[in-house]
Amino acid sequence: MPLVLNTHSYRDPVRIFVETILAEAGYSRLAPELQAEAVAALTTEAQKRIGLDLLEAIDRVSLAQFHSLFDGGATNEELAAFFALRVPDLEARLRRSLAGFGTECLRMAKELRDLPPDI
Amino acid sequence: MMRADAIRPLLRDADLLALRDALRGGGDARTVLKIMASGIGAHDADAVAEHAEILLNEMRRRRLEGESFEERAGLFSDDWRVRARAAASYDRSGTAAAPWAMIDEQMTLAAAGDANEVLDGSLAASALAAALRETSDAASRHLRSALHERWLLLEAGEKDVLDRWNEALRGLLPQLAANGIAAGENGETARLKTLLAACALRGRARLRLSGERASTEVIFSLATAAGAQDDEKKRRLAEEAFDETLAASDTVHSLESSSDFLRAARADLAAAEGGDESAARRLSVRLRTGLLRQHPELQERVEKLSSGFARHPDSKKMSGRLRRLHDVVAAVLMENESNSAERARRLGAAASVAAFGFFSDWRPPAEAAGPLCALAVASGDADPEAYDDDRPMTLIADGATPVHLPFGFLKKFLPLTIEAARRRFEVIANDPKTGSALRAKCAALADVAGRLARAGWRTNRSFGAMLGIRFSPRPGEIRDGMRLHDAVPSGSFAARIAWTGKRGRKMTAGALADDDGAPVGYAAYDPLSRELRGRDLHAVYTLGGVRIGHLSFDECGKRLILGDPDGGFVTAPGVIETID
Repeated sequence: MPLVLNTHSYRDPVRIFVETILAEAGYSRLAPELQAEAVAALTTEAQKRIGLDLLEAIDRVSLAQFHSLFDGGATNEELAAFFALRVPDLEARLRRSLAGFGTECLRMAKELRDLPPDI
Repeated sequence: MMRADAIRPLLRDADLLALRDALRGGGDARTVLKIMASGIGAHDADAVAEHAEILLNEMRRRRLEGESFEERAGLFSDDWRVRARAAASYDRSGTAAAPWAMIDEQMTLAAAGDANEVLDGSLAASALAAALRETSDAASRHLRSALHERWLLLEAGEKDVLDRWNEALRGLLPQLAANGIAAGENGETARLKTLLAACALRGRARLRLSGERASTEVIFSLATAAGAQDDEKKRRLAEEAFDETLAASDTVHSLESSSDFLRAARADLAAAEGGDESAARRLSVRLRTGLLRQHPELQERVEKLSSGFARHPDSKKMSGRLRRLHDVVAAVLMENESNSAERARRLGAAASVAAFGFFSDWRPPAEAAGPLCALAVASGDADPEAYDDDRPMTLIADGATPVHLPFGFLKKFLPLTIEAARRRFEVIANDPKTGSALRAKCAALADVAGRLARAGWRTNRSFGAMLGIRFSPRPGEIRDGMRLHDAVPSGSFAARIAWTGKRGRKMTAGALADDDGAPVGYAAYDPLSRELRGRDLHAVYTLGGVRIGHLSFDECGKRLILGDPDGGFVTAPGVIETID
């Protein structure tokens, strides 16, 4: 699984993760627009997977509270405090989610790579 | 492999005439597609035309509702609310509403012409080419059928179906990629877009299991059915139509236990069907206060359409109105799913930032071209102490191509200072005995490290600290002639070694590491050596602080020479004491 260790300049750790997935899948030299679209699409998907996995860890009341915080323009710190309280093992859960997503992507990419050139 | 632009020459004159007549006579797309399918010898022209029409409609919709790349580019914004909006917008573009939507995306890119045409020949040919391929192969038909059936089960909340659905999707990947190539994409792009679509589809499958969308779907189907309660014929029409489009009756049973509201609505509906007017009224109230309250923008449209049932008893008009009502239902479903997806996405985005942080307390110098980022690609935890040497690592820097190296190679550089790491990478990059791939990677890393060193990272941080990798190297052995490198073995802002030298001079020493990155001792500059001997002299100490030799310099860096230099040391003491 790709595992994010540091995200110095990008601010979005999931995007870093996705860029690594693409590189590992052999898509490190794409046209800029295609690269951007691929990163955007996979970043969205990875974030969804994290969210779907977290739904199993957060009760309904807390989930409603999260959306309320989000819609109310909560700061990053407020949201971080929310997760620290509601999902104590957040980082481990995220790493598992990302691991699953990364494994899934790389496996499909390999299968596609193994196809004959003209398919 | 048949390409879209190859279809027209295959048509016989008679087929072309029939096609022209159909177009002039205002024939619908299905008719035209069937003529084309017959003309090129499709075995089952009806099935091909039906499938091609699905593809064509999706392609037209996407062409008309296409979004600019700039809109999607909001995903790169630092502000996650902008990203959230961009993500929602991206979803609504229907990237992967179904496997065929993925095909359409590729084909739409390849197709040309006016999107407002009644029937775009290029789009129709593309749709037909894909439909032919997908309907002519028995294995493919079976996979698509399995995919569809399992999708319905997913809607019903059967979690154990997900793996089987994923398996069916995997079987279809070659076909999706082939469709992309047939539509004019190169193999690389077609594979990538297939990968993106497959990931999106799997995400949607997971989303289905959340149940939120299915509940609303069934509730809405009940709402529209209730609108036809006053007329048996209308009710039958409504139910038929709903069965066709939503397959709601199966899912009602599976979802009954999941929602008290739904169970009550279901009971009211059954009673209303039996002639209980009060039940029908209760149902109407339930639905308006339940579902439509969540979608006020749609309430007016639904009520307007529903009220038309009574005014237009004619079955044909009724049928038309029902179809329009289905559009509303479809819009609700699409919006609801999009909202669910976005809610899940923003939860994930916020959580990832909460877990991994924005690193606002750790910013590179403003003049830095961009620091590296290290990622490990393997299973396991984040502790580099547990990493195997074979574990692949990816190093990413802004504006640079990602570099992939095994951890066993990379770990030798982790304790070194940025500048020392740069020098080592440069030496390897210029070594003709090294393979070209590794030389290229080291050259790229030397370039990035050089930019960082120039930006002020020279002395107080290690290469590993810059990558964000924690490490605690074990001490190495010191020996005569060994190569030495400047290091910061404790990571960042390592304690320098200080002592009071001869004549009360305050002196410092820097840590040294061997070729494997293991700490072996310290080097201290002998400040009076230049004044008295005419050259720089650096004393070398063991980890215990005992002076054992001095440094010599060559084009590859530093080497240890055991023993005192000619003329001895001037200010460097025989023993130093470390001060943390």
